[in-house]
Amino acid sequence: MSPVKIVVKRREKLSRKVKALYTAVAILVSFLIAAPIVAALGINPILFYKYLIVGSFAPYSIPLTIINLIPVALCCISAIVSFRAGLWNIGQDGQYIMGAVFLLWIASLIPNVPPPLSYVLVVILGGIAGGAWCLICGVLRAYTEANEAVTTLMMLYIASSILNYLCYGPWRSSIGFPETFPLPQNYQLPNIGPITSAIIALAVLTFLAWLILDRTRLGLEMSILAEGTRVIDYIGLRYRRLICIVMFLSGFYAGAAGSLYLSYAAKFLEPGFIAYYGFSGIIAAWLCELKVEYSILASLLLAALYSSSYTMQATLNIPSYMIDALEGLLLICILLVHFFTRYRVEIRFISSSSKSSRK
Amino acid sequence: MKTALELRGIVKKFPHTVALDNVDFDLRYGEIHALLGENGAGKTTLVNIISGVYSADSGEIYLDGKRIVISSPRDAQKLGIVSVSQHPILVDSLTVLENLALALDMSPRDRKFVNELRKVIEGFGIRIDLGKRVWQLSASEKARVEIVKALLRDGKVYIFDEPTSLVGLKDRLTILRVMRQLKDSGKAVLFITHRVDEVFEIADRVTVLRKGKKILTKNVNEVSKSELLEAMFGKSLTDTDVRSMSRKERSSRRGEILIVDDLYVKDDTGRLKVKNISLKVYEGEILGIIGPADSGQRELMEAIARLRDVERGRIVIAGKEVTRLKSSDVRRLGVAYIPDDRLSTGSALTLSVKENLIMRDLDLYSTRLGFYKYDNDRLRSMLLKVGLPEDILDVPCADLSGGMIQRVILARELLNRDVRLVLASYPTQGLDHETTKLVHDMFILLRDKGCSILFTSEDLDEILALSDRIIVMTDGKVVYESDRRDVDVNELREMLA
Repeated sequence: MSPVKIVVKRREKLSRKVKALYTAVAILVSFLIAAPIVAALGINPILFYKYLIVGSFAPYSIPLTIINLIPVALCCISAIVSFRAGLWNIGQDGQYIMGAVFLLWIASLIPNVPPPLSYVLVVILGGIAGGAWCLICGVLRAYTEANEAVTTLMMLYIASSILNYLCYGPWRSSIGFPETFPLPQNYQLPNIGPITSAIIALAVLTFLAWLILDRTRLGLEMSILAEGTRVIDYIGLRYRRLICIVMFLSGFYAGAAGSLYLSYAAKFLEPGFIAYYGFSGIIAAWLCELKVEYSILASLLLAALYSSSYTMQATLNIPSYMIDALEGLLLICILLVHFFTRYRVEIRFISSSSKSSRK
Repeated sequence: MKTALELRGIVKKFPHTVALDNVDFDLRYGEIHALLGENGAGKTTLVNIISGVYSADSGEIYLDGKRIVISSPRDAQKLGIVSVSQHPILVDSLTVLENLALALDMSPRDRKFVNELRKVIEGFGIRIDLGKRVWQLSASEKARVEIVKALLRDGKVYIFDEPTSLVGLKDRLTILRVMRQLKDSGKAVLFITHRVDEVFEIADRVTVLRKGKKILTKNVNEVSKSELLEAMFGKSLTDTDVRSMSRKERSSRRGEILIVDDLYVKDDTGRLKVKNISLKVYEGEILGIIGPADSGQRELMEAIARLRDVERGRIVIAGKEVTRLKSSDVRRLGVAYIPDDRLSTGSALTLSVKENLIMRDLDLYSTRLGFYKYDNDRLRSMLLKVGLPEDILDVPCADLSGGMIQRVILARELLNRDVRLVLASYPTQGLDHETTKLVHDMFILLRDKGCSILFTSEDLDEILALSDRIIVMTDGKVVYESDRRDVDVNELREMLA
């Protein structure tokens, strides 16, 4: 008979407002937990918070935040597409690399495609390569039941090795650094004022994802996929084909993230091209509860962390790992909130006398 | 007799309803106490409170005269309250033995445990294959596992939550026998049901709940059937009102809508469950199939609805061979299929009612470009036709009760398009009286409009009330076929006993 009892109970449905409040609390809590860690590094936590905001949302920081926003948001949508269908593509970073690699290759073969068309090609070529890379795992899942969470992650390491090989090997253009030749000028997306024009691509791609997932038959079929094979057979959907479509579409978004980033920001490939936007995208996907309409908002938070990490490194000399840690804290807090929105934990104190506790 | 469990003034509210309104209840050792009520009367909520799934908003619970607080299912178990769930929660990929070991915190390699297990199984005469994996089991077999699990626990109070609603005739008898054995050994047995006949068959006392309120508690030998029905439904209903259906004389036979020719079908485990079945369904008739549970009825229906591969033989619907087609192809021929497994086959639980209503007819609800178009007015009127509130379109199906889910399935299958053939696998099993009546009314209405219905049931009264023709299926074969008019009911009873 322990005097304290912890009881976990299922909750009744929470309203949307309460849920949003919970999410906000999760974000806040993860930031608060960071304070003692920062203090341990010998830095005033107040300064840390200041640069967290200044480094991402001050007028001069906004273009940098947007540069980071685009790949995070596209990887977020990539995760949403597959998670909603009950498939676990977690290799966005691999598809991101393959999207950029494929774009650089094709662009180097046909460098003179005129601009408006070449910009469209950036998205399409990257998307197709990322989609194809992810489709390999989709086919393996559909026909051999290989777990896609494992295969997509493994394929990330293969993609990363391909990137290294190209940078050190056949595509190396500089003697000093493992860098490839640059992307042909025609394929480099220009800025509109201080902000990259790739933001337009993000808007269009986000809208399309929302349209497909929430307004088309395919989107509905994809969410039925998460319900299991018996319902799929009952409706008469083609299970394997549907898995392949989901995985291709999911990979498409991650691949487009890579090719776009190459086009407006990186310009050439190097081993450091892989910036793990994919994992941030996954965190963002949980943050927005797999809803495309909130994906950009959720991704903005993660992108802000990226851009403030540069500022902090420069001004406070805080290692960028601190921001990685903050991201991890964020994910943990979000997942905890997901738990607390579904279950209620009651702590009961039972006195040793016969009087029993009441709620 | 000593009182085992006593509830005083239990209140439980849910967002839109009061599930239990100041309910008092007591259960004694050495009795079977039936808790009777329609779906939605609050039976399951009461069970959930006793077994620690929910906590009551107010009210007190006493066990052996002592005030207790049950805050989790584990608590309930520790106190000696054992419940047999209507939908057993089992791990699909594990064997029966492993599941039982898991539930009881034992090792499946523990000889003593396995021996004890075998003793219980033999002692209570339960047929079960310990080595089978759970995903291979039928609903009846799963129910058996759940009962064995309960028997292995040494409890004071046993709760059976509609244990007979999803099982076949034989298992029903087994369950009733188990309850009697428990009672004879001095245990307190709470038996939840919505079947009045079962109360008279087995219970000592009966409590009736209606819309969250306790209507009466009486000794069974001091109460009449009509009194119980009135307590349940609040209006006077006699036996014949419950069952009688206007049976229009079938006009001369028209064409054949379904031809099944020399069919062989296997189940999930690869066993041949349908062996050499040939049958025909004519336009505008209801053909009822009855037989012991798990005789291949489910596999036969699934094969015709094209959810299951055919080993040998032919299926022809409306003159078109469909043996190798998909379920969506036969759907487009005007075939409705109401599966017995409402929760994991018949509905997509995480999706909304709206999405569940359109998911089998996406061709009707999408434009050529693949965008879907909801006709909300039409969907709402479909809900009204099956007696559901029209404002639940955006509610996920998981939030509905079993009876409501079956109504959603009925609306989708029967009202979306012109239906020529209805395949219904145990369409009223486990349903409340009102929903059962709705199913029957809809079938009769469709039949009178010229549609054909092929259905399976465990309930002989239902088969006799609805069918124009009757088939008895045993061990994957048709053993008897007759027109309803020529049926000898006694002969049929003997065949099924």
